[in-house]
Amino acid sequence: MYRVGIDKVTLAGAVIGFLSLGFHFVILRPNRLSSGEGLFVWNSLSSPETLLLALLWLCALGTGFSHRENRPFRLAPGLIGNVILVLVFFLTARMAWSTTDPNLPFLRISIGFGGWMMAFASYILILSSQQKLEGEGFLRLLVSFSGMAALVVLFASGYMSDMSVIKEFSARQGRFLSELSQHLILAGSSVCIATVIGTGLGVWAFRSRFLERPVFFFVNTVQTLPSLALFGLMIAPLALLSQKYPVLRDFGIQGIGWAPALIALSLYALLPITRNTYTSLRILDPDVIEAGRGMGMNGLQLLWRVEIPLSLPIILSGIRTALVQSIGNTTVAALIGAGGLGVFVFQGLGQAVPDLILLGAVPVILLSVFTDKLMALLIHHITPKGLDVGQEPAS
Amino acid sequence: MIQIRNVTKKYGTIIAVDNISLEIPGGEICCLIGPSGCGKSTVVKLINRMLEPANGSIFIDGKDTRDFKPELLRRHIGYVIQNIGLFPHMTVAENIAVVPQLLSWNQEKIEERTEELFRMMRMESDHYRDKYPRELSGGEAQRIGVARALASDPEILLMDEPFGAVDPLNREGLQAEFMKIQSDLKKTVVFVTHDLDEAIRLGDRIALMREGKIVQYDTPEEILAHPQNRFVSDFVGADRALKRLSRFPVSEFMKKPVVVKVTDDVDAFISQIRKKGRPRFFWLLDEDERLIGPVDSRHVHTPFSREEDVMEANCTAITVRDSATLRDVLSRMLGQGVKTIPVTDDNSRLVGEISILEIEKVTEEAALEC
Ligand SMILES: Nc1ncnc2c1ncn2[C@@H]1O[C@H](COP(=O)(O)OP(=O)(O)OP(=O)(O)O)[C@@H](O)[C@H]1O
Ligand SMILES: [Mg+2]
Repeated sequence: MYRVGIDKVTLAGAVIGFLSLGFHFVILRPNRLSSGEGLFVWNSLSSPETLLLALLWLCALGTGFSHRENRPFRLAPGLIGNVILVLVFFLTARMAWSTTDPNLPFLRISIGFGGWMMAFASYILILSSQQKLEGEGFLRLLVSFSGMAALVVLFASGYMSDMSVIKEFSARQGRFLSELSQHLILAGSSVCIATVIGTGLGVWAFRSRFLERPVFFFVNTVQTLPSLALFGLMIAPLALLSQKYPVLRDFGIQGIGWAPALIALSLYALLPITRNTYTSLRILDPDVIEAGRGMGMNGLQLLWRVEIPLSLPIILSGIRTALVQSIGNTTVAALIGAGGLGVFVFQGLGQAVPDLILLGAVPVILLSVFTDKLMALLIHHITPKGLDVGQEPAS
Repeated sequence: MIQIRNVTKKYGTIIAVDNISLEIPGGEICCLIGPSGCGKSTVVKLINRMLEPANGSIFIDGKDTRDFKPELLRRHIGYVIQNIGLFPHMTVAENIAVVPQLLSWNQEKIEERTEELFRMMRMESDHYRDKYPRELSGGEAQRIGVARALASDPEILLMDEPFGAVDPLNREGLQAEFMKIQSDLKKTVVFVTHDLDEAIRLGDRIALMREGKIVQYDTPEEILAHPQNRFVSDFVGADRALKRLSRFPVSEFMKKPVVVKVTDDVDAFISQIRKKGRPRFFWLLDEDERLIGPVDSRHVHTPFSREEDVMEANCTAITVRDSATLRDVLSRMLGQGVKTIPVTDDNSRLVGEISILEIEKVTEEAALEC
């Protein structure tokens, strides 16, 4: 018989879900700048809807307390999570287009802290199911993406267009796309640069005992600087350079803008890549190398047939860390005029418009998660089957 | 043939190999043995130029190894490394195919050779070929390591403790298999081991090393019979006389047994040997010449009764196979408290008998020589 037990992850999600009921589910603002008024779930939704949400969370709590190893129980939290995730957005969006008040033509409706918290809690339920459905191809896919897909459809159909964030988006569609691409270019190219330099440094540190310490001192120090400080540090030397050689300015290289941002971001991305390259070489089994040489491989054959296949997964997981980190850090680069999604965040902060902040922050989060998953997939596929999958050395 | 001439290898101030000369005739197994750190692995690696000597030179079939590119040289020398070192990201079949691949054999030939090696190693190809090294037991991995070294059918085989990770029982099995393979292939083998019994069993010659030098290089019989100095006699141990016995196959010392089939006239036979006075004992065989047991001609009923007159009802306990050594024979005699035991072949047919007198003769020779 199946053992009945407590499923901690689902339970945590359910508890957070219940707590979220204690915060404002939506926020109504007379206009986009004013601070507005928060409403709880029961103030903003009809009683059947409120009841439905409460019931769903109760179910989640129930499955958390009496987990069984059979398939329905592994599936349940994920399905509940997906339904709640869609409901949070759907109900808010519906409220947004159904609430029209002639006295308040600029009324803005957005998801409140409680709403976001509930969405987060529902995501925990989804993750919980994902874990339990390891190896169940279709079901796992269903649990992972059905809610997301529904949200995309909801967004594309224009149903959400009355929500405040979407209004901010519609007002800046062109700008949004250009900042998004600027963000991607900055984050991507900084990691490319860091990959070239970082793998080089890693190999260098590995080969020479003398260089090992200084190399790691350097990359570790860079990593400890707050990103803002590093961006600031870049300004002065670059400004000086561009003053001395005005030609540089024609290429856009000056104290502020993309150039200092790119340099700082590349420096930041160095640590994980250098460290993982170094480690991957460090843990190469000397017996395996000896076998390769002993079988008659030359240097190049050893590199291609043995060293790269064995170390690539670890180097790639360093690049994965660097990418996720770089996508986050690029947000801050907006402060020195490099553009990117951070532009909306800082505009939003300046004007105290929370939804504008979200317009910058939410895509950054989604990008990070998406990139992380994509890299995980790539690493999984590239890792030779004979090795343990996804081994990331501790930092 | 491998000739090592005045070779020295230093690591910094450590002299790992100190002016060694060694000649290994083609088709023979030379066992390198000695305490840990005495330079055995270093000698092996000097032969395939994983290491370069500070002094001296090494010739293979009369050609200086320095005349070849190291990689090309190594592709023609089988190498079993001390810690197996299978490639963890390759399947067992891919591991075996590494050298043929480097030699750019075509796929068909590689495939054929791989299957042949699985058979040679007595491993089920279908079961093992797509496994990864981490899915193998230590013994299986070592066999694959040997198969990988044999893949391109090299004339020379360097084996650095190839059976080190195997328990004693399985090790004997592997040794027997290896000897069978070697009797067909006749490779020139340098075999490093820690285990004196292994060296005595396998080696045509044994090179005993100490602190980078070769202390004695001789056939196992000679080393055991005539240790050149105190170090050698200590190393081979006080029981060297006993160890030496394992060099002598029983098949070379057994005598023709006196036998009678149950279907013959046993009573006539008994009265005949009683008249002659000897031999006192004979072996009774069944109709298929399988051994039933020994009979003492002085204590038999007349007429002869198969049930009552055969001395050992269950004589498998005292029987040895014809592949055994005198050492096995002696231990069987001591264990069972008998002085003469029968020797049988694969089909448990009696092929000879051996008594403690023959063993004494062998040990006396050695004692006289000492
Ligand atoms: N790469 C190296 N650097 C420095 N010293 C080494 C190196 N390799 C071996 N040595 C030293 O050379 C000596 C001989 O080493 P070797 O590996 O040949 O010993 P061995 O007889 O094979 O020992 P074992 O039975 O333990 O395998 C030892 O003293 C060892 O410490
Ligand atoms: Mg060794």
